[in-house]
Amino acid sequence: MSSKSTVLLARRIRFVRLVVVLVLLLIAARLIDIQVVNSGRYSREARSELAQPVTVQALRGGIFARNGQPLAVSIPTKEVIADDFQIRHPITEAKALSPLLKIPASNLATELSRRSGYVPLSHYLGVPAANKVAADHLPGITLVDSSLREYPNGNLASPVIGSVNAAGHGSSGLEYEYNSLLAGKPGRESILESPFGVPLPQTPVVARSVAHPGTGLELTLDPPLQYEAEQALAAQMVSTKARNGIAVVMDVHTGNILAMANLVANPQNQASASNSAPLGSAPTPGAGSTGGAVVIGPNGPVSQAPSALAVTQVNEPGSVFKIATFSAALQDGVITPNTTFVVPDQEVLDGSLFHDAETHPTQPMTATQIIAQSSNIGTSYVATNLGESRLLAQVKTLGFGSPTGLGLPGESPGILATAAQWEPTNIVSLPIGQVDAVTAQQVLDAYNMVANGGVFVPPRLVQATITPSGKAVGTPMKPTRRILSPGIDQEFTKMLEQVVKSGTGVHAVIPGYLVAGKTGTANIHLKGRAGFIPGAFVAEFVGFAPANHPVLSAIVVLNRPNTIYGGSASAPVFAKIMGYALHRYDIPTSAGSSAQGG
Amino acid sequence: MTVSTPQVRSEQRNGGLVGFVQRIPTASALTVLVGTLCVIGLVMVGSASSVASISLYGSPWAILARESIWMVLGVVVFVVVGRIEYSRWRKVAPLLLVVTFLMLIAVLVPGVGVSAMGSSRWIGIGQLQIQPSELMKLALALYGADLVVRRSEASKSYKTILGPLILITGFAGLLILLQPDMGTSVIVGCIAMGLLFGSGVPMRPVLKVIGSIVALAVVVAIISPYRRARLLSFINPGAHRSSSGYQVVQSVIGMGSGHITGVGLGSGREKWGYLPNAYTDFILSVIGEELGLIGALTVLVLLGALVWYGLRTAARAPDHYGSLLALTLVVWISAESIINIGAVVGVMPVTGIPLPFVSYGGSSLVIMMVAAGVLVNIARHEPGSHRELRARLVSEQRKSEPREWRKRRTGNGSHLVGGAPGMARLLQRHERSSSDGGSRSDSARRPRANRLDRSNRRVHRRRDG
Repeated sequence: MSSKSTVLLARRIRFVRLVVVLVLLLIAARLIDIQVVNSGRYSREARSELAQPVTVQALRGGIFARNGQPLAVSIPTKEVIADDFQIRHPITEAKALSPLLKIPASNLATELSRRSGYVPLSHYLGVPAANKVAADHLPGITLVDSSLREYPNGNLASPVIGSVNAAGHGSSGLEYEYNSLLAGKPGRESILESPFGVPLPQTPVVARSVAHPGTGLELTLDPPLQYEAEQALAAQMVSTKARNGIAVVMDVHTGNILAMANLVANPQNQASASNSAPLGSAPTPGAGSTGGAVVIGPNGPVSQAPSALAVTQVNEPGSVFKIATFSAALQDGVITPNTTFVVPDQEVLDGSLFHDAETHPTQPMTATQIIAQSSNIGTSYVATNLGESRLLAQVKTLGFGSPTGLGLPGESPGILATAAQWEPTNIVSLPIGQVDAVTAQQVLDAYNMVANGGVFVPPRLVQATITPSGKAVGTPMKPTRRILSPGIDQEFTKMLEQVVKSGTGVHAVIPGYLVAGKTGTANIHLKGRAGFIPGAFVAEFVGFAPANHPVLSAIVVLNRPNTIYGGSASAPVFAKIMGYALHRYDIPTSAGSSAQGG
Repeated sequence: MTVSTPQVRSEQRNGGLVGFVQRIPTASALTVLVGTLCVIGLVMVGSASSVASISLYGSPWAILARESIWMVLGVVVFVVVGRIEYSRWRKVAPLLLVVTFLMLIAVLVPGVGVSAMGSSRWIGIGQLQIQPSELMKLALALYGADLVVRRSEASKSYKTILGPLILITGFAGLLILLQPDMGTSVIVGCIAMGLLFGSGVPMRPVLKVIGSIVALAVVVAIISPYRRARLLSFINPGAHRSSSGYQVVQSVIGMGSGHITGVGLGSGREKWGYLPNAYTDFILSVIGEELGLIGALTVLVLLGALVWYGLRTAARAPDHYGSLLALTLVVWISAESIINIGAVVGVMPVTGIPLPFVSYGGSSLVIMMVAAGVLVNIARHEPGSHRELRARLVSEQRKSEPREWRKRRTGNGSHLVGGAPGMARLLQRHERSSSDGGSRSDSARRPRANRLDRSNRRVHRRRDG
């Protein structure tokens, strides 16, 4: 090669060297810019991109009975999740996991070969077993905190206590209503994760906030009484083929709900249950079941209702609603227990025919007799004397039309006719419970007021909250209000005693105790049009005992029993439950109670 | 026998880093640098690929195992090519070029070429797949240098060089663009540029060519939506951080969080699925994240040193072909390095070029090792080198030694050499492969070549230049 071109080439080689060196220096400068000057900014960006918040679950608070017995408790467990893509030897791992998870190895091996990447093997594995699983360090097996909601008493009082869904949130009953209290406050942590959600190894877990366990609830429910109430109600539902039933027992002075049974029938199971009747499924009314317990559940003749029917189901109350007319009339002095009316057994008003349940000649009746025999015509005379506006006011005063404040989800305040909706026939139909629609709990609250010396006590289900450290904090009592003057309540109680002594409620007699109460047999409206379903009734009995010194009040409602009357269908259940409760709480017997129970 | 001049003595006395760098034989330096880069590559590919490897093959070692196989192949190729006389490539080059062109066409035929991720770049069966576009870089460098040298010796007009070179490059570039693989076609363009630049043609027409290629590149870039997106995202990566700028943003974030000393080998986080192509094109980002500025600068310095010694090879090559070929190979390695690193640090568009010797890559690694081998072979011919010196010693020896000895040696030589038969055999084999194969020597009896190497270098360089 010529020397000229050699010189040129040498010059160009030097030029290339210069260019490359300059470019590399520029790149080095850029590296320093990224890795030193702006390193902090990029590190922060990397961290914000990698850091993923993780929720540390808080253990849900428990629900306890009045005596501290657990009704619902959460047990810490672990969820076992397999990433089957990481599992090379499904059969070996299945054999190792099988005794700990208590799942057959063959089933596990199938699960571990699903090629899904996320296979939950066990949702609620006990902590001791989970620790053994963790100690095995099996590839592809992850343990995640979970908790199991246990109901030690099975489905006892489940419409009241409620349930939780798969995510652990309350979905019905008190579990739903008090969810925020029960759930506690989950803690938050951040971990570094890949975009596919794989936690990066050897990276720190940063705690942002600690988990606060949930607050517990102490209920007013008494589990043995609750059981008794459910069993008595179930037995009667089976024998009367009622569609559903409600039984509520209340502490007269505090308004504490001691038992609240809400059952629905499983008609498909009832035929077989009554045919093979070894479980005392057809007891004679009032005699009580002497056989085995009625199975309450999907396989039994009755199930727990999906909600607390005592506050969610409204129906025309029928004769139990006469309390509105009589309490107001007594309080205002419009009548005394001995005020006499001449009462026919039927009357036409504004083109409508009203009649008493049973035919009788036109006869003079005292107010006490009117209520004891549950005379509709007699009641309408009292109501006419009382007047429309006073009657409407008293309905509201007794708590109808307002929520009871029990705090159960889905509660209905009832449906009341307002003054604007007043029709002339209402002066007869409203006092006898054929206009307004109310809940069973509202009826019980009204009668409990009479038992409590004329003072209305709001009912309650939660008597205390339990802090995570175990301290019980009493729930403040709601304000009470006097509705009947002292003395008036006594007069009214005496009248209600006659219902059981000699009136429609003789099946509510409890030997040794004076019982006051009222029967009700209400029509059921046709859906969407005027008129009633023929032959379908709601049978009710509400009352309290001992009448001379009331301690407990209770209501029993049966929906469409084949023994239609409240006095025959519901009163025996009332007697059974109340009799059990009076004995359970060692309530002294009443002097002169032998007069009752004729 | 030793030629000693004042300059040589002064150079010998020159201590320190500069003296050390100058004293190292270029071939040894290139070998050590390539080896170091390969080792860094192997370690970092192992680290960067572990996560992707699990998700792709179920084992964290699968990709590293593949890389190791390619690396072994690459080392064998490097050693073998390093011993093939570079001038021999002149004869093979035209055939190689034709075969490569045929393969490039075959890649585009559906059913023959293997497509992946929207481009058909591969050819082959099963696991044994190569990219003909990689081979094209080598073929162009080898043939182009030969072309330039032949034409410049035959004719004064630079047009006889420019024409065919542009034709070949244009055709090759077009075929590669059709795959589509813009990055590789840019590298092919850079190789052509290196050839033109080294050919001694005036710069003005060269610049015209550069200008037209850049204009063409811009047009090509804007036509294709994905290339346009890449370019736009390069201009403002932040605005496209969730789409086309994502990779660069992730790369820079990863390097930034590495700071000076890095998060630790193996502890990088970007490779967990945040940074796509972590073990291939973006290996430097992983190095920067895990080994920090120190690691990234080390790679940069090693590549810089490789270029430096590569250019020294070009300057000291014994003939025009060797010089031009060395320059072209260096331009090629530099271009790939700069384009790759430029993208990784977010100052150049992402074109999908691997980092030479470091990135995971099958055929690209092997081809790069061939280029390095050719470069090392050229370096072996530098004046004062072991090889060059021995050749000279032999020629002197031939004059002084009796013919009888030569006769004896010719038969079954090495057995007769006392002391170091292995060395002798090695040298013998080496010399059989060299072009001036007539020379024979018994170097085992001679003084150590290294000493002579040092003392003679200056003299030869002066004679050369």
